[in-house]
Order: sequence, then C-alpha cells, then structure tokens
Amino acid sequence: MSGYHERLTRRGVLQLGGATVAASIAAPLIAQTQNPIRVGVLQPFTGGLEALGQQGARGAELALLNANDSGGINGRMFEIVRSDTATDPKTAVERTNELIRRHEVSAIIGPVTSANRDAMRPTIERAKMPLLYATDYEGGVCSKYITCYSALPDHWVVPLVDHAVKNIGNKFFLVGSDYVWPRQMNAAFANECEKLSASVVGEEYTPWGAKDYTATLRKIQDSGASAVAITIAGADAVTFVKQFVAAGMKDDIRIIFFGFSENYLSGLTESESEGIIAPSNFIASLESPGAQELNRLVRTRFGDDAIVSNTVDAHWTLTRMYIEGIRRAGTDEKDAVLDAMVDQTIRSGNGEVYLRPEDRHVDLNVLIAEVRGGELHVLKDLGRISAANQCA
Amino acid sequence: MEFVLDTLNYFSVLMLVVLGLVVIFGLMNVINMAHGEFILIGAYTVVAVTSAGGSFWLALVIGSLVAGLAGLLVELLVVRHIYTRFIDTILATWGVSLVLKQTVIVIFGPTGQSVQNPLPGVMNVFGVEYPRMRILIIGMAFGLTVVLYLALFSSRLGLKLRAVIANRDMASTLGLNTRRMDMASFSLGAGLAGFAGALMSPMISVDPQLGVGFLIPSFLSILLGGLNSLLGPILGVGAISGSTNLIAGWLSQADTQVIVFLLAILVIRLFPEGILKRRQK
Repeated sequence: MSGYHERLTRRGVLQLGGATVAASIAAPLIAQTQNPIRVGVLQPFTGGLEALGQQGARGAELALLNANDSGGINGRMFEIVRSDTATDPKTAVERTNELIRRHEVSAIIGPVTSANRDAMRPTIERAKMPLLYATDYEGGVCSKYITCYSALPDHWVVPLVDHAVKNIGNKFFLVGSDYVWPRQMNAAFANECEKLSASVVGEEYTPWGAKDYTATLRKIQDSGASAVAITIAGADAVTFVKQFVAAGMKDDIRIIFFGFSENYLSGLTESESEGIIAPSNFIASLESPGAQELNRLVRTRFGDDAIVSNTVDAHWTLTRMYIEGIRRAGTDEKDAVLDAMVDQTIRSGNGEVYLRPEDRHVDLNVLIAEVRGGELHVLKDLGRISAANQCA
Repeated sequence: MEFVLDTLNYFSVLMLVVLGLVVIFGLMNVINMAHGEFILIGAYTVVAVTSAGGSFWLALVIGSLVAGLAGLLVELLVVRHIYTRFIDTILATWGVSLVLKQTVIVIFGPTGQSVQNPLPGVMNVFGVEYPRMRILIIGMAFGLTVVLYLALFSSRLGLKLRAVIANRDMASTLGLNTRRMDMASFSLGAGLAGFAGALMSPMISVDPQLGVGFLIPSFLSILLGGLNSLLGPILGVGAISGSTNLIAGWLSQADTQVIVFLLAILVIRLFPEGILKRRQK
C-alpha cells in the first residue's frame, strides 16, 4: 500500500515537473511568434512593502495593458513579467539577473526602496538595462540607465517647511527610520529650518519593526515641539501615529508625515489620521480631469475598492513615458528608447510633468495635503517644481 | 514616575509576547519561529470580529481561541513529527510562519488594517497622565503572568504538564497521556500569543509583518533569563525593557537597540544557561 502510494507520488511529481518544463519552454516559443515587448515588473510583492509593491505593479501594468488594448505599440504587444524582490536587496539583484538573462526583458520597472535600487544599480548598468524607478527618494542618482519619477527633498521638504513655519509653528521634532532616506530628508529639513530661523528641537531614529515608541514619545513631549515630522517607513509609521494619538499628544503637536498616501488611511482610524499633513504628487480626491481619468482606469481594471495613490500614479505615468519612448524610437532597442524617452511632457494624474534629459529626473507637481474625515484633501497646490540637477 | 510607567509599559508588551514562548520554547523546547504569526492571527481576528460588529472585548476572547486552534492544527500537522529534532523545529516552524503570513495576505490583502481604540484618552496614575489603553495592557500582562504561574506550578494540570516535559517515558509509564499534553501545551502557547496580538492590536499597525518585530526581543528575554521556569523569563524581560528605556532616555532608539543586544550577548556569554542558573562547572 505504502509502496503504491510512493510510486504514485513520484510519478505525480515527474508529471508535474514535466508539465512545468514543457510549459516554460512552450511559453516563450508562443510568445516569440507574436514578437512581444517584454517588460519586467520588479516590485516587493512580499517581505514587508507588499502594499506598495501591489500598487506599483498595478500602475505599471495599467499603462502596459491599456497600450495593448489599443493595439499595442508599433504593432507589437507588451508582455508583463512579474518578479518579486521580497523587499530584500539580495533577492532584488537575483531577480534582476533573472529578468535580464532568462526573460530578456526590454526594461525593468521598480523597485521600491533606495536600498534595493542601489544594490541593483551595478547589474543594471552592466547590462545597459533601462530601470524605471517611480518612488520618492533622497536624490543623487545620476545614471544613463536609471530614470526616476521621484519626489526629491527639493520637491517635498523645501515647500513643506515653508508652509509649516507659516502655519503651524517653528519648533520641529524629526523622527525617522534608521536608514538613508530619513537621514537625508531630515538633513534637508534642518537646512531649511535654518534658513527660515525655525529650529529642530530633536532628531531621533528608530529601528525597523519597532513596536513601542514610548521613549521617543516622551522625548517629543518634553521637547516643546509644535510639530513632529515623520520619515518612518512603512507600517512602523502607523504604529507610531497610533501610540502618539493614544498618548493624547495630537492636540498640542501637529503631525507632518513624509511619504504618507492613501495606503496608510486603512491602517489608521479616522480620529487617528485627522489633521496629518503630508506633501504628495498626487492624491485620489483631486478633481482634475487627469485624476478622474486615473481613478476611473484603476477602478475599471482592478475593482472599485482598489487604492489609487501617488505610487500608482507615478508608476503609471513613468511607464507611459517609456511607452512613448518606444513609439518615438520605433523600436524597443534599449539605447534608442533611453535616448528617445527623455525631454517629454506628459499628463500625469496631477497635471503635466516633464522628464528632463540632463539627469533623467522628472519635474513634478507638488501638493500639500491634509487628512480630513479619513480622506486626503489639498491644502495648497504648489504647481510644478523643478529640483536641482542630480548630475551636477 | 514617568520612567517607571514607561518601563512597566514596555515590560508588559514584551511579557505578553513572552508568556506564550515560555510554554512553547521554554517548556516544550520547540523553537517556534511562527510565534509572531500566532500574534498576527490574534490581531487579525480582532479586525474581523470588530468589523463584523462585535465588541473589542469579545474579539479579545475569540482572538485567543482562534490562535489556540491554529496552534493545535500546527501541532497536529507539523510539530508533533519533530519534537525529537530540536534544530528542525526552526525550519519547520519558519515554513509555517510563511504559510500563515501569506494566508493573512490572501484573506485581508497586503495593506494595513485599523482597530478602534476601545479605551481612548488618558487617565491619572500617581500624578502622571497615562493612556488608558496602556494601563489596561500593563494590568493584563501582570494578571496573565500570575495566572500562568499558578496554572503551571500550583495546579494538578500544570504538574502533569511539567512531568511530561521532565521525563516523557516515565510520565507515560505512570499513565499520563503525553500526546494530549503536547497538544494542550502547544495550543496554550499559541493561544497566549493570540491574546497578546488581540490585546495590542489597537496600539500597533495591524499588517502582515506585525509578528516579526516581536520575535527577537522576546527570544532574547527568554535566553537571558533562563528556561524552564517563569521567573527566568520575567527577569529577562525586566532586564531588556529596563535597559532599553534607561538607554533610550539619552540615545536614539536605533542606537539603543544595538547596545541592548550587545549587552544581552555579553550576558548570555557569561551566563549561558541564563541569569537564574548557576554557571556549569
């Protein structure tokens, strides 16, 4: 009996394996006859940032699938190859190699964190592979192969400090996760404060996955700050805000939250999120035609409760810039597309944006938003902001 | 006074997590990497129950039961095959943790969920304004520790349980059903973790990665204090939470963690069996 079972299982495994091998050989063959343009969507689908990964992927795939629906580009269809960084730099590099060598993609869209992007950079540059990066970051990437649709400190910190000093107060406590983005953002924040004769009364970095912020909250309370500026990444920030509110500190100290988006709203109750101030490039409640269109496209494709955030907008717009690059170049040949896609203006979910040729960064429209009644609303529309040249 | 309360608060958070580990790791000798996911199950049960209209207090009970049930299943399907292979428990329970985490993502999606704070606002404790929810957590942690201590060391059931752990063959010879004891203790440990997750859910981000951050400080607390009793882990938790709060008073939380872990490594080097045990000759 047990022998029979074993044999059956082995055969089953063999059959399954055979089928998989056959499928993986067959798939590219079928694909090649139609000669598609293969694009790697490399996002964190597991490992901590899966919420952002899902939205980044949706934004990119929305652009590619819509292009397919309207007959492809230059008569060719896009084929999406999804790949998971697991929010881990080492895995991100392995997956990058796989996308380049095995799947022979024409471009890679992703990843999310600076740590992953920096780890992938040598591999990307060696393969001369276009990387489309669409997450805000600390700035300083200057590479022919990396195109950034990213809010830099110039976009977010400079106008936000100005707004805060005029409307909230002039004493700030900065608290962030312990890695490069928060530290650079806070350096920029302190720098702006100095110009406007406001002061940073405290600066604190917290470890990843922290569950208890009591000690930090105590310091903020004792500092006499008028606002706390958060650059804590991911879910830890939700924990921080929850404990901040539970400690009864929200009445006296305002929350400025870098990187806040519609993503965080479901993790906080309405009373917890009320009054949070955040810079953003896009919010779903915008009434402009561009925003309405993006909302409609996302909901048609991914369902009515799909979150539309600046992550979706950034990946959608940057991917469309890449598609336009292919159309202009008349080919998906990497160097040609890289040259053709820059110096273009395109409508994003929030107004027209411009991809600069000199450093492959985008001039973005910036909003200062506030959470009211569980929804982000525009407090101030700053229009298009051109950051300093990142290659200078 | 603030310092005492802040330390008590972190002590309680860690203690709640450690109680389940005391049973599964300390008594049963299973390195349960899925402990964080039982916490996760507790917290997500609260999300499910409260969004279905149930009260937080009901959710607290159901959360513990669901996690306990999940623990029972894990014991039956996985852990019972590997009690004798100490190291393999790490790999197996790590696999279990991945499965549980992805199941939560499949059901609830990757974005965070929120739980309404059932006790908002602050109250006056010894002249300090302190969040009411925090006070509840502190109270619950102490209460549960006492209950677990009495259950393990002053009840007949606890005696049987410890007998099975101390000498399985002898206990079996004397007529104890060791299988049932294993199931009961693993399930109890998971249920305690579920309770911790459910109780803390209004104060932390409820997302699929929730369990991960608890694992290191709680394992460290047990290693520091010593296994096989409840006093050791209490001492370990006290050492970790006390030193964390003391150092965090003048250093960044990130630096504090580094120093506390270094101190813990040093202590474990000097007292490999934990602070409570004498050094082996």
